[in-house]
Amino acid sequence: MMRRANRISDEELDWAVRAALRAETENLEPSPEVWQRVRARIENPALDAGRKRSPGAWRLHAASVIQGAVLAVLVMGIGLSYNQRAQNNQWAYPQAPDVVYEAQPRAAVVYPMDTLSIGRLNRMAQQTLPGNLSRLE
Amino acid sequence: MSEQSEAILVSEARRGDVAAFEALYKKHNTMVFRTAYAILRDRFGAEEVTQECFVRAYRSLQTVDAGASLGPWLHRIAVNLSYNWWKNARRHWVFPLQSALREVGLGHTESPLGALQQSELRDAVVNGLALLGFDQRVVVILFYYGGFSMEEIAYILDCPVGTVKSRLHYGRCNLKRQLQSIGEALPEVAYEF
Repeated sequence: MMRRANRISDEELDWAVRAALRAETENLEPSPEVWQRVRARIENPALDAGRKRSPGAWRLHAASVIQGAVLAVLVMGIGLSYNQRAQNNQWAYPQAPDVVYEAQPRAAVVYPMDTLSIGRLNRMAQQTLPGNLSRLE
Repeated sequence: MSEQSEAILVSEARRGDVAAFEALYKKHNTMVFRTAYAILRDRFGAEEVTQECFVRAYRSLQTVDAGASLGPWLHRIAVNLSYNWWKNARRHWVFPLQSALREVGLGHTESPLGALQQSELRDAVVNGLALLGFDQRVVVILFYYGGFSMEEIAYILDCPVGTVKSRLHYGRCNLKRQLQSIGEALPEVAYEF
């Protein structure tokens, strides 16, 4: 029978959970100091009066302080590297010179003598065209 | 240790016999500690819970039925303490070192069924359990690891049996989904039987 390996049946799940939990906790025993502390506290209830906070509470606080410090260093590092990269990639635009426009008076247009005019065109047409229609009329 | 001898030890411990209570401690401390460890995945936290659990149990021995097994009652205290510890650890955003080291070394390269015999899938199951909500995780641990009945778990968690069944069902579904998502990330392997 062939079947997909990544399909987990209910029986496999049950087995895996039991096996995993058993393996995770096997050979785990509380340290002998636990009973010593229990005994001390039940024989001397006054000890609890001074036990405002669990002896392990400092661990929680220390861990959160360390985690906060590590995060801060990471954020600073990322910020500095980003800043450094931004500076390296910065492109300085060249300073553009100021442009000053000077208005110059425009001189009067003087057309040269050979400028075509309608009158000259007419004359040229009459001279060059051999079969001038006007003559035929 | 039979139920009868346990009842005798309970009544002696009620009268202040510390040796009788020590015998009760020796009988139950490992299971309480391991259950707390399975819930918290933190040895230190589990020891704290175990210590506090037995101190509170000693002070409340008058209220427990001497004829009944102490197991569910001790687990009820331990689960409540574990919840407090977990809540406090979450507030302080503590990730157990052991888990962190395991995460760093986590590399799934085998098929799920093949890995069942290896530590990878064990880690995957335990990590999957850690991803479940506290309520579902506790029910799954008490059912599979503690071996408690639905009624006992309902007593430990102080909730109806229907709630326990529902949490177990959804816990299993979520766990299965997580394990299958790990399986789908792996190369496909077909087994012949």
